[in-house]
Amino acid sequence: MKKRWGFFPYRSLRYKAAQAYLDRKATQGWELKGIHLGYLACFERTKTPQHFVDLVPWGSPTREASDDYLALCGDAGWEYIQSLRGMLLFRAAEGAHPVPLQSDQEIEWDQFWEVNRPRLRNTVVLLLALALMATVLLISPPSAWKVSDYLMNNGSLALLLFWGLSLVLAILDSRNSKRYLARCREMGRVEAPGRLGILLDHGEALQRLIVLPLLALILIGGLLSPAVELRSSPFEAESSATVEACGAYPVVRGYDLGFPDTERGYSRYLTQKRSLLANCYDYSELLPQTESAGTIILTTERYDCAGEALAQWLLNQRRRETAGGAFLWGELDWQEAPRLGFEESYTCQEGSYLLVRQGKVVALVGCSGTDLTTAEHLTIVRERLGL
Amino acid sequence: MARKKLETLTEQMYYVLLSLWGEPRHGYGIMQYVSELTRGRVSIGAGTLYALLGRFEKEELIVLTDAEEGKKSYQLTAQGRQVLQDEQTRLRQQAEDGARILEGRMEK
Repeated sequence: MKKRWGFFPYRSLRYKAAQAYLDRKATQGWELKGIHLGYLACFERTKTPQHFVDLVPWGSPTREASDDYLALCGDAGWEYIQSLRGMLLFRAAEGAHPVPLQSDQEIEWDQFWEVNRPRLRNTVVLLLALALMATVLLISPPSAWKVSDYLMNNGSLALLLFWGLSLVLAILDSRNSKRYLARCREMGRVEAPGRLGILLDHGEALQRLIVLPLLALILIGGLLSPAVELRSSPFEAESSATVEACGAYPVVRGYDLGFPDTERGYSRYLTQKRSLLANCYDYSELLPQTESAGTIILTTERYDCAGEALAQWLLNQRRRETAGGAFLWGELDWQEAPRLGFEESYTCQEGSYLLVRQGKVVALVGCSGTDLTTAEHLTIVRERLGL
Repeated sequence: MARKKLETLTEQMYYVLLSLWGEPRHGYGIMQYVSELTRGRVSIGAGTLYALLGRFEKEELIVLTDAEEGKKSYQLTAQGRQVLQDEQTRLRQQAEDGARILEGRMEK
């Protein structure tokens, strides 16, 4: 039997669009056999096919009620295909030419309104909750947040994109649903939905069919094979031979600044994160204790951004994030330092921390108790970071 | 919008109640009866009928009498008979008013 496949993204709010789609198929001689994976309609050639899309009858969510209803439809010549997203799909039994399931527009409208009114209210509540969450986060973001971390991760970017898209769709859908229901109410019957509404159904279906699996792949890919080159050593002498490996990366090591070679006995950590927006190196090293400064913490963050505007934004973002205090650093009270010779530069704690931007590159270098703004140290920093 | 307390009946509501005047009937029986009674002019869809039966039962205009082999039969209650008679009176008056105008029986 010859088969044809079609896309069936419709939701119960716009079930008249689903009916129109199946009617078009029927005029071409295609009868619906079933919907697979929630969205893929399978058709077969039949003589004089006829379909009906109905809503799950209101007030009858029980199995018994469903059975009653389907039995009545069966007696009337309608063969039940399946239920989908609050809709019931029927085709005419072989040789039957049944009366449409809904024969009174007023009753049909009542049913439609009963089913969709709570759905509309839920959407409004969801939007309000999202708006409230967004407001709270904007007014008082959690202090541990490092926004730059999210932008340097493809999984986070994909998640951000997904949630952004979901939010836009939810807002558009809510507005469109409200207008559509108002139009139906005014007419006292279920009207054919507009194009935007049908497009929104397509958008949501595509989001579920393509974006969600893609997002899952990105997240799984990120977990299984992270774009992170890790050179890490815990406080164990035998596994601290990464100092040379770290030399291959654009980070500032204690060795570069003239500290004794700390091949043994100290912790060193290097990660590289890649995303569509930037390539980021994050390096930390604990240097031997000194009498004046105690344990010295050496840090390099280097971001190769996709564009200069992003680099400018990131510089300011890191400035804001670290000003409030950061892990092991304390509060960094950045002061502009244009004399250092970078396109943008800030320093704090008597030169122990540098935050600079040169073109598309942003770098944050810190070494407690060491003035990095001396000519000698700046040369080393420029050389090591390739600025 | 939903009719409040079924003050007036749509044509389909009227025929469903009318079909239960004499004897209890099940859903498909109601559909067949109405079609025969109106010589095919009024056809009631299964979805519409199901909704109407649910509403009439809730409003206590009909009552379930039997449920054999998955087929539920209903009959009119006293309240249902009253609603149907009121509607019949209303329709008759409506028809008479119309006739007076359309057949020129109204005094000028």
